[in-house]
Amino acid sequence: MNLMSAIPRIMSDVLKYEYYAFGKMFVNARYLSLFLVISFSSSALYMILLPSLPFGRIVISAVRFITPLQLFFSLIFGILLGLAVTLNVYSVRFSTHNVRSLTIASVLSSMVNGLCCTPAIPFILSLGGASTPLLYSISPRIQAFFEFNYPYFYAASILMLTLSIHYLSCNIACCIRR
Amino acid sequence: MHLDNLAFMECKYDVSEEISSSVRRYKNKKIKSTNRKKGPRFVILILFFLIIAGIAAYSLLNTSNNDKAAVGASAPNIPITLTNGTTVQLSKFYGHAVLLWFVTTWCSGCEESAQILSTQYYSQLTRSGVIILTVESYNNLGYPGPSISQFAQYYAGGVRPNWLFGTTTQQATYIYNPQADLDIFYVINSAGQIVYRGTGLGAEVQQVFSYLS
Repeated sequence: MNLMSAIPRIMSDVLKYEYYAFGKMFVNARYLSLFLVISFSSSALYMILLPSLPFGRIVISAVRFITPLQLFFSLIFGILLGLAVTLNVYSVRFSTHNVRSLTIASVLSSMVNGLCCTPAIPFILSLGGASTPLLYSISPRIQAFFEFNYPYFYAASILMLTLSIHYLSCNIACCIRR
Repeated sequence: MHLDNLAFMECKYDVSEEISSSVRRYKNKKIKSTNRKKGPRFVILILFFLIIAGIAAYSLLNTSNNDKAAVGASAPNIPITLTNGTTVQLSKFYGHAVLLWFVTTWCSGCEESAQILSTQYYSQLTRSGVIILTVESYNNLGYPGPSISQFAQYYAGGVRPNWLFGTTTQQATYIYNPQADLDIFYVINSAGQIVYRGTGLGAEVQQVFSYLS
């Protein structure tokens, strides 16, 4: 089958549960406002948090160092997190299987950049009894890995959130149909 | 690309099956857990935590013994090769308050800290008579990055009065940065005594003022 012609069918097949679940959920103004509040606040929080992560704490003056990638991720992540949390809350109503672990994992993986520049990695290694020369040979490599590869963790985080939204939508759609 | 490859995106939860299977799993688990003896697992857990606590205590004590650049002690003298090529001793600056900052030039936290220091605190610090010494940890901790001159140029607006940039030896880096931190700083008073040590200068620069006063 030609991929280009298959895309609309795949999209409608894959997203049919999302259309159904969002349609049902957003009819209710309470869930719509919950989604808007969570999306807006988590986007704003991420815009402050992401450039502050290298310090290991919230530094308001670091907001001006936000990169275009971090800004884009903050917006996307805020919207997806808002959807995931609202769907989780909505799914409680039907006692369906919720996907909290995926949502939590995605939030954690979005924060790995904090491991690059904080003393977290050297501290953990030194707790394991590593001497100074050993720390010098291991710790900077691990920290550099998190310093330069954080976009992959952002992508993983978005993928996990998207999957959790898909599974939640499936559960809600299945449950309501029954 | 075959459509079968997208099978993982399909709905996999049948709610009724999910509930009945989870109830079954829960019942089986409960029966198993009541049958199992809890003693050995508890002892193993305690032993595990004792070993971890022992290693942690040993390493912390060990670090404090080796740590020559400790708060309250005199700042060990080290050579610093400045960006203009001259090598000076740290002791040359005794008599002034010194902010000795060890950085790695590839670390984003260090870049942000340098910009915060440059734009928000440089004037205030130098007006207080503080000399800022930004020193690249030996060999950038083994990972390539811009030179310390480039770092100064890009993030601190170049070498400015009372803000010097340089490199140092492996031995000196071991003394002041024993845990291979990417961004570690010391506040040294005019008597040459270390009064504060911190990490992440950009976030802690306010502490510098409180310790200097």
